[in-house]
Amino acid sequence: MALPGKEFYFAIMGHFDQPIFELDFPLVEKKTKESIDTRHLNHYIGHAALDVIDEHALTSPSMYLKLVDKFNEWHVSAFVTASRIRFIMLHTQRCDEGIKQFFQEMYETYIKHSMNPFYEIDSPIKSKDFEQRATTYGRKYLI
Amino acid sequence: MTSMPAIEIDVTTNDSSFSSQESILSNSLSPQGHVRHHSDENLNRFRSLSSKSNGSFGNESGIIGNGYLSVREEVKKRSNKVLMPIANLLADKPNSRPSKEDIMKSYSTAIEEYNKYTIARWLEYECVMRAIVCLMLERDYIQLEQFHRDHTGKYLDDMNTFMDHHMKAQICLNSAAMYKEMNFLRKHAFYARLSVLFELHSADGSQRTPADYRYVYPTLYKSLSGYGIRPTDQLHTISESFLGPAELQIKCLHELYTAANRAELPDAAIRHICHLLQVYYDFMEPPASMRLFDDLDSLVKVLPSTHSLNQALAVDEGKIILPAMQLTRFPMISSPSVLPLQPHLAPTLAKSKEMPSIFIYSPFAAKNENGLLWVVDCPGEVEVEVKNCRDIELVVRDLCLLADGVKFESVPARLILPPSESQNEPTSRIKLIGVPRAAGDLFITGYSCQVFGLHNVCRFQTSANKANRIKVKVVPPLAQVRLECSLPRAPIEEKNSEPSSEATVYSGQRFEHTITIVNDSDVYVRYVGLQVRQPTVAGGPPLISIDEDSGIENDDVAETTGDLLGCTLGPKSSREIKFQIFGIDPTSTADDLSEEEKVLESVTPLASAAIAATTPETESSADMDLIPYTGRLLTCDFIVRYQSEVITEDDEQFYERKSSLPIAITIVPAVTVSAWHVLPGDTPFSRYIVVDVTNSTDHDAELMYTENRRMNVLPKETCRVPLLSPCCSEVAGGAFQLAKMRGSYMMQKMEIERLRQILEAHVSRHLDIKWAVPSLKVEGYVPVGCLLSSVSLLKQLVLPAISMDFVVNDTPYVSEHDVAVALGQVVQIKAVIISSLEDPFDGFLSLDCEQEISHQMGSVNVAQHMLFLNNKKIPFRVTKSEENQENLEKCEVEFDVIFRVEGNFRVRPLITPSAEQPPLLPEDMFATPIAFSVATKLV
Repeated sequence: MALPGKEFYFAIMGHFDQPIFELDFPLVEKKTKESIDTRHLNHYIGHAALDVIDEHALTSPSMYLKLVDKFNEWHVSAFVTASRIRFIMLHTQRCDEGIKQFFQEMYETYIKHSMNPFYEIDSPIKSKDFEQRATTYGRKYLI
Repeated sequence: MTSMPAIEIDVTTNDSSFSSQESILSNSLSPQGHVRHHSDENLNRFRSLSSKSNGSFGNESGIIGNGYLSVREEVKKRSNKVLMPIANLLADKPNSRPSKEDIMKSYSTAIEEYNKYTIARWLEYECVMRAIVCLMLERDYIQLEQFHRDHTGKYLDDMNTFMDHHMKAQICLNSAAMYKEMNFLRKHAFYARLSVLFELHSADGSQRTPADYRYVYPTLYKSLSGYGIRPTDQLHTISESFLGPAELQIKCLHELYTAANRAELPDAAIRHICHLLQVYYDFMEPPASMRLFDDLDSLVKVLPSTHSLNQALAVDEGKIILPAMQLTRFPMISSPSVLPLQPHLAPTLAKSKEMPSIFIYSPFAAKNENGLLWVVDCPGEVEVEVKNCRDIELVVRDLCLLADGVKFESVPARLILPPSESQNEPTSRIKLIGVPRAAGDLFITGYSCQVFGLHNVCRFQTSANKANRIKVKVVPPLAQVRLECSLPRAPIEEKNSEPSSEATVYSGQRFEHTITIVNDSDVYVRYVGLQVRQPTVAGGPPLISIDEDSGIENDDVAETTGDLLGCTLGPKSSREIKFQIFGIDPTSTADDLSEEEKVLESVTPLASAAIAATTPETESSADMDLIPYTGRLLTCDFIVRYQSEVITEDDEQFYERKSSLPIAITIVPAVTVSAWHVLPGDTPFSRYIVVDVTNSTDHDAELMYTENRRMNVLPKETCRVPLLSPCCSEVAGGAFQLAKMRGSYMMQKMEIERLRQILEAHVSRHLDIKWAVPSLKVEGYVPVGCLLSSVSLLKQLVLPAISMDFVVNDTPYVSEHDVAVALGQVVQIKAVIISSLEDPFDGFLSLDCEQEISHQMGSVNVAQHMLFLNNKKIPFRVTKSEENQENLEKCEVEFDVIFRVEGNFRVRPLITPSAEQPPLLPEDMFATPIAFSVATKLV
């Protein structure tokens, strides 16, 4: 069961800064106005953090960049793949180890997905299986 | 509060920093998003710091220039030591060399001390920003970002009541400028937008004025680049690729539109709405896009004049210039293709003298012929695909083509496009019309239209978003020739505006008409060639024939090009040509048949065992319509090719046009041939062609044939007309047999056709059956083209290889009567053997006797009832005699016979060729059997 105020927003950002996959934890069934506003705020914060992530990616040899940005209560952790696809996680509480493992699992999942010849790099990921796996790993490592 | 003025930011100076940085921005933006490299930053830093008009971060913050040594002066001093400036500075003073950590520690201590006093909050902030400048100069952006985040957050917090929202907005602007200096465009955009939020924050619930929105509008506009939007692009692609974060972009643009609208900048607001709709229509929910369209409609109504999207728009606030844009999504117009002129206006290049080519086909020649040419003052058409992607009706007004190169007048069109139900709905193709007014190369570049009350100008684009200019060659004004006919005009088709005529004739009728070739233009026509395209008839007169005395002479060009007539035509002049329309047999033409059956068989020979035996299967099985036949519509065309006396680039070529006059001729069957049969004539050298003539009219018809013979035919009835025709001696007996032995099928066909034409010319003189319907006061000839095209009929009129004539008891035998003889009476039968062969013919002649039992039972061979008094089989040799006028060979053989049984007998000659002679086929021999009526006692 999620702790009160423990929220996560996971996004995979393409080469043109476009989110190609997004997921909120805990899962929200219905789109309320509050959740939509939060999603917009997350977009802004995540997009602004990309500058810092790119700077880290230039200087850091590791893929997992730990905590890279913060705005109000939202922390931003990031993971940069070998093909410069950026995973970002906005979270309200520190959970470094869980986020790291989540990123690792999602990286493997993303690699498998991107090897599908019918998938075009930078296009939105609409695979149910991918989403299911992300949900599973989120429940396992984040919540 | 003494330090307050120091942190106030002059928005105008702030703007100058944006504009000065745009060149750097545009260079650093790459398709890879906002990826930066240190080498680029060095260049940027050098540019920005060395610029004398630099209004960047230092000026924006206002902190550094507040009584202290400004960064700009430091930069001037150390412009040659841009890289690692602090290290270089310290290198000058080796005795006191604090490290970066020492410096930052000193700043941290100072900030900590200032933090203890609320009144020193501005000093604290200034110290923070100074520390940031140091880190920036060291290019330690990660630490800078962390330092900035740790120390400026509290100024923006709601708990900070020392600073009002205006001050917080300025702090955010400082941060935005700082990040822009670092080329952190996304951070810059984030803080710029945050500053706007603070600026517009209303703590006391007061309403914001248009001035407030005018103040924040430039900041919002210049933050667009941080979200991957390039507002300076004139061409807003609607491709989803490389778009970036679409949701953020929509929200930012919508905020910008709202700011412009509330700032009372309707033109700018319209431009931003159009940008939103153009690029992000597919990403928006239908209600959102519908609201935007409503807003756009409201804004357009407010404007005193029509907003032109193709003009750059200057916004005074922030000195912003909004570029022109192309609204290519509403409607979506694509795939332009230039159409050739209408067939009667389209010119082609023709050589002045037709030289036979050594190639049957040359792709270069074909390419040359297919070149698209437009003519001055002739309306040209451009076909485009149009699609309305909205789910409601779209009205487009004044849709015109845009062109360069030569003077061009476009005809405006108005479209009402139906709503599209789905994205994949097929597009519609429409034609846009324009008239070139001068000769030269015309480039069709795009289109303009009025949509949503806006003036929209767009260029045609290729699939790769490149400009698509279509080149068309426009030639000088050419002569225009039209055809006028004495026949009444027919309704024209929708696609073809050329005039056409129509006529109705009974089959066999012949009418004379005139056609006039008129040159309406002022251009001299150096050559006019006339051709007639009409249904092919395999025999008899054609549907349309030009009178030989029509007054127009054939010239040399006409002979080489195959034109029926050729002449010249001056400006504003005309020529008249007479022609005849003949009502051919409407039941069938040669065009109706396949290639293998070009020889027409539209009527069947009469059912006859003898004929059936000799007629090939293919010729006897002609199909007949089972549906009652009432008439047939045949079309033919007068085609005129004419060359204008206009100088071309190549003197050996001329512009040629074609004009045609279609004529629809309805042929009503009147009196036609339904069947035929060939019977022996009075002599071996003549045949009776028995023709069944049907009166298809509802009135009595009179027939006149063979000079003065007359016959009446009742309505819908058939009568039999015998026509005596002599055999044709110009075709040898075995000619058709020899033709079938030719080496190839084509050679066989050609040879048979040649023989057919000889026979047609011979027989057609004797097939003159006139008909007249007195009640209708019409008359004509029975069309016998079907007979003349029938090879099976004509070949029976060939003089056979061997013909025989008989003389019985010194009386020439006529086939119409039986010869009455008594039982036991000696009958002398003299057979005259006539050969049409070139060589002498040897053989044996004998007689065979048959007794006719009845019509149903046929006849039986009763050779024993006839006794020969001399030889049963007599040898003969037919040799050519020079005195014979008909150039035929003859030989006489005599038999003496008696009959010993009563009855009706038929005596047939049997010829057995000698061993060295070729075998004789049944059709090679023609002999009428002699009919004897044997009685016991003659009366």
